[in-house]
Amino acid sequence: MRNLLIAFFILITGGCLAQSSPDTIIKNPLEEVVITATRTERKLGNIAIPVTLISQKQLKQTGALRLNEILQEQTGLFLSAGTGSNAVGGGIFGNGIQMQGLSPDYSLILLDGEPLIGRQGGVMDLSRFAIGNIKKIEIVKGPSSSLYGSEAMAGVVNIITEDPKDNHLKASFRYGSYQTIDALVNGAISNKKTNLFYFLNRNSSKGYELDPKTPEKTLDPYRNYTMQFKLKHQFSNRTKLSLNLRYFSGKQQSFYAINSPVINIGGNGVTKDLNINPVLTHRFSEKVNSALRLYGSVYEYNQSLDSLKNSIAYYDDRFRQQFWRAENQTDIKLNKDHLFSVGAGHTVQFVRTTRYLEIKQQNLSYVFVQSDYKFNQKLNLIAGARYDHNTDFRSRFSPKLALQWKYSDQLGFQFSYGAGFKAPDFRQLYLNFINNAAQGYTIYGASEFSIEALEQQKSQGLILQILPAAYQITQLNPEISQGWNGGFRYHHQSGFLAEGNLFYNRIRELINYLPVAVQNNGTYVFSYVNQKKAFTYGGEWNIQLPLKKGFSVFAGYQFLVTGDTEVRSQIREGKVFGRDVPGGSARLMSLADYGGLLNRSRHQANLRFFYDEPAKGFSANLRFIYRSRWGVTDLDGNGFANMDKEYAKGYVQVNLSATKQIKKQIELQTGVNNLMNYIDPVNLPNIPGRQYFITIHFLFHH
Amino acid sequence: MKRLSMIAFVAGAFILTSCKKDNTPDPAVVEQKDFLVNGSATSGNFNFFSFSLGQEVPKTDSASNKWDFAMRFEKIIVNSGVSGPGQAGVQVISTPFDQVKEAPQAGYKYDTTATQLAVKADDWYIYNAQTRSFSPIAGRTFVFRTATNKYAKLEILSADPTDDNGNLVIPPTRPTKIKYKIRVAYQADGSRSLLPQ
Repeated sequence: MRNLLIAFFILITGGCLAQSSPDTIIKNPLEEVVITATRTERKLGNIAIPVTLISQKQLKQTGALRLNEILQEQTGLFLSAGTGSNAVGGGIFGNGIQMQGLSPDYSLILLDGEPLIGRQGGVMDLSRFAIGNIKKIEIVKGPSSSLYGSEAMAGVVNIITEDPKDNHLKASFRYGSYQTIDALVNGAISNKKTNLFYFLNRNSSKGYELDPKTPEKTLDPYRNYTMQFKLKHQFSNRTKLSLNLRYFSGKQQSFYAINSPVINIGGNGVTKDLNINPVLTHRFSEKVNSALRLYGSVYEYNQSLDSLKNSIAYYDDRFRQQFWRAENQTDIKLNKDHLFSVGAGHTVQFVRTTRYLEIKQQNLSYVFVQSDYKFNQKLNLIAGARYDHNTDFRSRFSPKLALQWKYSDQLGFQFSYGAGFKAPDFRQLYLNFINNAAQGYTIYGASEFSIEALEQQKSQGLILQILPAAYQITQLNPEISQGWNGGFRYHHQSGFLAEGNLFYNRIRELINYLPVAVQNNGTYVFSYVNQKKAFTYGGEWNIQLPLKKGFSVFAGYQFLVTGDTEVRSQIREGKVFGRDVPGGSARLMSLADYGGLLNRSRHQANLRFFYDEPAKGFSANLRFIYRSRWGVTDLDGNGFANMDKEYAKGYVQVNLSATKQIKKQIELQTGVNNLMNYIDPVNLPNIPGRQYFITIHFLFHH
Repeated sequence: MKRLSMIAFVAGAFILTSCKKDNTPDPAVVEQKDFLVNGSATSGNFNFFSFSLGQEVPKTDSASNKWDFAMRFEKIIVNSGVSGPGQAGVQVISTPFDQVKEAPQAGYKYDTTATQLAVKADDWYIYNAQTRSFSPIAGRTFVFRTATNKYAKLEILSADPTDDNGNLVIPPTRPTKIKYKIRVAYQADGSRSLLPQ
């Protein structure tokens, strides 16, 4: 292994003897434009809100194929499964993203500005998204519900797809470990007024096995197809239309050994996902721009499993969600220092599943405003708010305030406050589920719950006792957060960047399930209630350092502290005990023993070296990603991690790749992911062992 | 050193015997042991435990006063009411084992019906649906009035899935037994004092 590393460095330093040339991985920072933070185009250096930008160059150089692979290398983002997710359904262990210490449930994922749907157990599986059609990814940290509404509690990830104005055709083919095959074609046909971008991708793998002791594979074989068409037409200088169409179809085998030492249950899980997004923009005058956005998305997940012995159906789960939205946003330049935006929209959602009584419909209307005002050359204020009104849970008002003070062109200080919320999800509202297989418990979503029905069941003798908690069940509130971010950003023309941001998130009204009645078989009836409070705080720092001769270094670090407010106050009151080893005697816990919320690492860091020699058509990179230990389980009944055995071990993952242009139109890329072969089958089932890959890219301009 | 401990021992013995004269209760006998019980949640026998013997007693004694509590998987029954002919009652309190110096006078619960047992699931463990394991809550102590009206305390230290011989098993092998590591203290003289030696 060490030899491989040395060989890699020799490769880099060998290439380094060549003449240096202008850097391309680090662009002129002052020219980079982002859109997600304010929903208007802003230069990255002129924005009062923490934004991370992942360029297409970076996407390409790392050789990542799916969205989860590239996001997990960014400072402050962890790949993580959400609450209640499991391997059944959701395909690949819920490859969601944790941001500022909040679970994947609380980050909004956008595709070209429109929300993606289809979460399993609260997690949007990011491996569903190919990145061969992505121009850039913008990540906004901190609550952003003032612009985006529900789910934008921790932040927003906006995947912006390509938008080429040239005629080209790209094709690439990858082969890698675990028989990973990825083939894509991506091209554009343009004339003066119209351009069409298309993208086709097939991605498949035989899956992998991290723990040979279990009969199940850690990841079952799958194959995914993605296609995208984006049509843009310019009617005039003032009026433009774009139509974006994306379709995903994924199929994954599922095999299980249920009450058996060998595989005895099997079948397929099929995910389908459609997005359609026409946008009409019109410039009424120099001062007024307006966009009408229509958006529809349909997500479907079906899993059916049969006994392999006699083909008798074992499990059948069907889920179908539809999301339809119409929205207008109008930007008005009141004067040269004041940009005012106003928008309104309506969303209708339908969901149908085997676990709800009927098709559920949700209607939501919203209006938002934002004022972007420059007091002078140095001071910029952004103030915005959004009001969401709907039928099934309480309405929500979400303000935001952001302030930037520029000391100079290079150095700025920013502060922002924002409110975020997450609407109760479908389970929490509509679940109507009696678990006949297990102990026979019953769960009702808050909208399905009725105290009258319970009392009637009690009079029939089906319910032994109604617990006091049952009388607390009312209309659910959205889960809400308030976030404060404050930091600086120094960005020099040379490409040198140093930035830091401190954050504090206060989260309330978290939805929890709790027992509300005892049934005559001794088991509970559960329902949902707004109950818990939590907090996360920490800091994030990034440095980007262009060196001589095509070298550049990126380094990032996040420090994170999280906790459940209620658990902390119980510890302070001396009510919580724990053990130092499993089976050891009980001891009073202090705050120093409290490991915070599970699945959170206190330290995360990355160190990435890039080498780029465009004149020679050669580039290479070596990336280290570190994550300190994180709590995974509770072995002493106090609900949190305090003893060593309750933590997963911290680790370093090392990835490297190199690209060489071998002909004018042909590029060869090769790489190794997880070079040190770090695996943890129990806690990191989504990280496979060492993987090699080789890719050939073709590029034709015509 | 040796002499010092000898003196301490003699002095201790003297204090203890002299205490006896003052009607001070005997020290409770503290023991730590493994208790291997049937690992099926729904069928098969319970395993019966006697505080006075400090060990498991055979199922043939189930209709007698010879046992105090019994377990099957994570279910606990006590020798009273619907479960047995004895007087046993129990309460689970949020005080660590070592700090329970005296059994409360009142507050004991009994197995009134087959579904309303003295000990409820959330009294003493947390079930983790993801790992399908349950963890005894640290700092919870069971205080018993025994089948024969004596007092005892119990702490469940750990619960591990095992095979019939008490060897740990990991999935996908299904456990047939649960091995409980327990700590018990028994006061034989009928007083409520649970102070150890």
